[in-house]
Amino acid sequence: MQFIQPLLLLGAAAIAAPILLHLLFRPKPRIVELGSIQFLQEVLQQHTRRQRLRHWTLLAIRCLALIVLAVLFARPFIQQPQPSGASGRLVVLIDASASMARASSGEMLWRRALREAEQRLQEVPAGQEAVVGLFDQEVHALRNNEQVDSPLVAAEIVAQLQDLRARGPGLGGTDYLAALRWALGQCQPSDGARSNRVCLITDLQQTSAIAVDAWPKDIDVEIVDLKPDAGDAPNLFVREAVPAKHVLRPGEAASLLIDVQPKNVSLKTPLSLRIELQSGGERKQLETKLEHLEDRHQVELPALGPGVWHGEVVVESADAAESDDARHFALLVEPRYKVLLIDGDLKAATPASDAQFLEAAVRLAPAGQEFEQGPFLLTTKTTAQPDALEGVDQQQVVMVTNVPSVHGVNVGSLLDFVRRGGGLMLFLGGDGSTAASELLTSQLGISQLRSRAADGVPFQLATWDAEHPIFAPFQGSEQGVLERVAFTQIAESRVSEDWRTLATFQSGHAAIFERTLGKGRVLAVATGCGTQSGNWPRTAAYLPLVHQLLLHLVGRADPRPIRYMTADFDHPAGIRESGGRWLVANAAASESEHQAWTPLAFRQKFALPLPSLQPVPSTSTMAAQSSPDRLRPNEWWPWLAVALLCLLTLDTILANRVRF
Amino acid sequence: MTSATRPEHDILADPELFMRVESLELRARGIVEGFLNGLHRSPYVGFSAEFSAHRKYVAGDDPRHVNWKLYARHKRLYMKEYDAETNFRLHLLVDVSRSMSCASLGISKYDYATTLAAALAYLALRQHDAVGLTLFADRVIEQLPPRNKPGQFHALLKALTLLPSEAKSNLEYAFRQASKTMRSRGLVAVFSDLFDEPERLFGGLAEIKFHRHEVLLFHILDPWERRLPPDETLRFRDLESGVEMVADAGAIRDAYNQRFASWETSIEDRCRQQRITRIPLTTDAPLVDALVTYLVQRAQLY
Repeated sequence: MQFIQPLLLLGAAAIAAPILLHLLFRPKPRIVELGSIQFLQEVLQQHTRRQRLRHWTLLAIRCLALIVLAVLFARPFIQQPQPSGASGRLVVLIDASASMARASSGEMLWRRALREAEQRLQEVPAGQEAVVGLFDQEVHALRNNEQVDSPLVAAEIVAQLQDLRARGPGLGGTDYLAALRWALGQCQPSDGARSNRVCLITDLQQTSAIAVDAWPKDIDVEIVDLKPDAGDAPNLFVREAVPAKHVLRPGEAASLLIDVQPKNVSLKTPLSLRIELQSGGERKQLETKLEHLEDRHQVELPALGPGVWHGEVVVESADAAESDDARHFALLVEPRYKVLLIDGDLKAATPASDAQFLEAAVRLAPAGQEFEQGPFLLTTKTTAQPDALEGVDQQQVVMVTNVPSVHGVNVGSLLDFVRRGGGLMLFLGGDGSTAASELLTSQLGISQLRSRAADGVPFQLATWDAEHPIFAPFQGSEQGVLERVAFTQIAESRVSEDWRTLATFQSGHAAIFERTLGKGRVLAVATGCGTQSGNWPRTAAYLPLVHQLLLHLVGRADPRPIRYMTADFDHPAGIRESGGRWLVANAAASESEHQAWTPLAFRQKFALPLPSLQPVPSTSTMAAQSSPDRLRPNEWWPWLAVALLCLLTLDTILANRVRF
Repeated sequence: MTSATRPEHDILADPELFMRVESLELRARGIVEGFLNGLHRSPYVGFSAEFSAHRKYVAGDDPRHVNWKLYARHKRLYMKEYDAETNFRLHLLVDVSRSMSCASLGISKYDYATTLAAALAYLALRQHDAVGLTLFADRVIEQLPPRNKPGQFHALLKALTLLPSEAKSNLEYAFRQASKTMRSRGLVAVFSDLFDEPERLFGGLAEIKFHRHEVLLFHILDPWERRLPPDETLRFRDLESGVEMVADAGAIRDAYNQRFASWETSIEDRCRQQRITRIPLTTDAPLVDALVTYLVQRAQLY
């Protein structure tokens, strides 16, 4: 306990007054003679004991009242415990979104944010924990390099922030909700003594606002509004640059759709657009000028050769934000895949041949697509032809139908083709057994191959690996429903461990399975490819499934080889390959629309408490600000006043019953 | 100052003023004369007259002696006849212990007792009754046998003008001792504050009653003994033991009054049991009233 006016405690010495009065200044009573005082003695014996008790009680009450009065004037208060170094945590959120790359008053907002963060971290008492998160659409926490999960102390964080100066912000968008939730998770449990604080350093870029659920009232949120300059020139940026088709054939015409914002800007001078394309060592560039900004501008690209083309659209603008003046795109120019179809059906080249369904499927475009030229260049031969495998190395994929009846095929050459990187698709449906088919199947680890007809209930696909690229288009129903594909005849077999089942019939038999062989891959389909195995060639799923099986063999089963994503702090803008796909990262377009909230509006949008009326003072500031005239909320005087009143009341009651 | 300088009834009505009359004889005479001069009526003539018998009323009889109780019962008029008992004896027992010197309002119990005793003696001697005196404290200090000779009153007055004794009270012993000398049956008037244990007190009185005396107990107290002085802290001193104690009169008044009343009640009950007439008096009560009170009570017995 401390006192605002400690000198007034000396007033407690006034208790000497009642003591002196009680002990020294007692009046001398006059003498009264009575014939007998025996009755007085009897009565006084009881009375004196009570009187003595009341006498001393009254003295004690008066002394206590004087002490309470002195303490009351001294104004005691309880010093609120200051946050120690081991309690509470400072959580600093630094906006690392694309909009922080703007320059304001000659300084990038990002660097200003880092400076603000350093300043606050330097005010943290030594030893107190501090956590810093850089956020765009997710939070990237600064961690101790040695102890990933251990938070850093303020001094260590300051050092890391200084290293970040050289590096700019990310190009990601802004997700305040994710940042605030992360900050809330970093705050230590509140037990009255801890004082967690969150410091949000941002340009308050307007985004979608979802309020934080139940932000604790005891966690202060300091919003450092970087207040970027509005700027004289409007911020022109490329919002979108998307090719009309991402996958092209060599020589196929390509166009690029470009969206430049904001539309409400009237161009005083034509806006220059520069488009750059690069594939390997080849580079192409073209420029165009925009007289005015339309919804979308379509730019015809030059003819491109085979390969992956990295493109970039750059708008020449003189605004403060440069990171949104360019946008990346990608194009895949692929030649047609050469596919050799070997029909093992003895009735080949007849209208009833199963291979004709397959031929048609290879040449046609799946639903929703249009081919000027299909992706496959098909060559059909029969097993009866002695030169069936001649020039097989020019092919990418060999399809063999009616495997049980295939004959005359050089199995060794076929398998060598696969080992060299080729793809082999086998349709195991059909009757019969030939030496070539047995050799082929045994070499590939397939045994006991025999045909099995459906007994009333047709065979249907029951399970398949939904994560496999082959089945990616069948997640919806646009490319047909696999469950409805029915077979009247399938091929049962036993396979070695080299095979991996991709789909099964409801009987549990493998329907589609694959294996690698050398550098190549083999896909086996446990049925025929035509109507002899059922009505499945007439289903909607037949054509896209055949395409997917073939594309998987050439490594192009992913229907979307080029994917777009938003760059973030850890993933800069640009194009990179990952798992057979090309990822195109661009800055978040929303970051280019420079509209900011006010701090109050921000608090309202995210349901954050208003800042405390007084900031949490440090010990030094509290001592400096102490003033006798100020009424502190933790003073004891009300209780002391009540106690004094009670004592005076007791004194009045007791004094009337005690006489000295 | 003599009683002749003021109207007697004023003096008699003001005990403090009356007791300034230094002469005990004058005070005694004044009480009796005032009483007999019609200031207070007595239902019968003669102090020591004793009822003898009834006779029928005849015309001319003094209606004061009609036995009205008989008339109420029988509707016949009968007259009381009294025998003047020339050998009636009045024994005055006056407590002269130290406690009787208590005089909170200026009149000591001793002065009050002696004045009252002298008045009774004067009244009795005036009617030719024999009066004796015993002064006692813890024992019999002085004793005059009952006589009705001309000089007896002065002898009594001389004995009564003694200062109070320094001795403490021992009423039982004093009464037993006095009873040995009071052979002749008569009226024993005791003047005392009775500050003693009731057992001892009435043990002594029983000894007197044993000799067939009629006992009259004038219980004389100081006003402050019955009710404590006004509210203030006082140092009380016991006149007999000398013990002192300080007490706030106001704080203990209720308890004291309760205790004192309880003691008086016990005294009264014992008197009733032993057929002793007790007359409670305080020194601030007019002496004539004390006399009248006795005579009224005595008349109710007949």
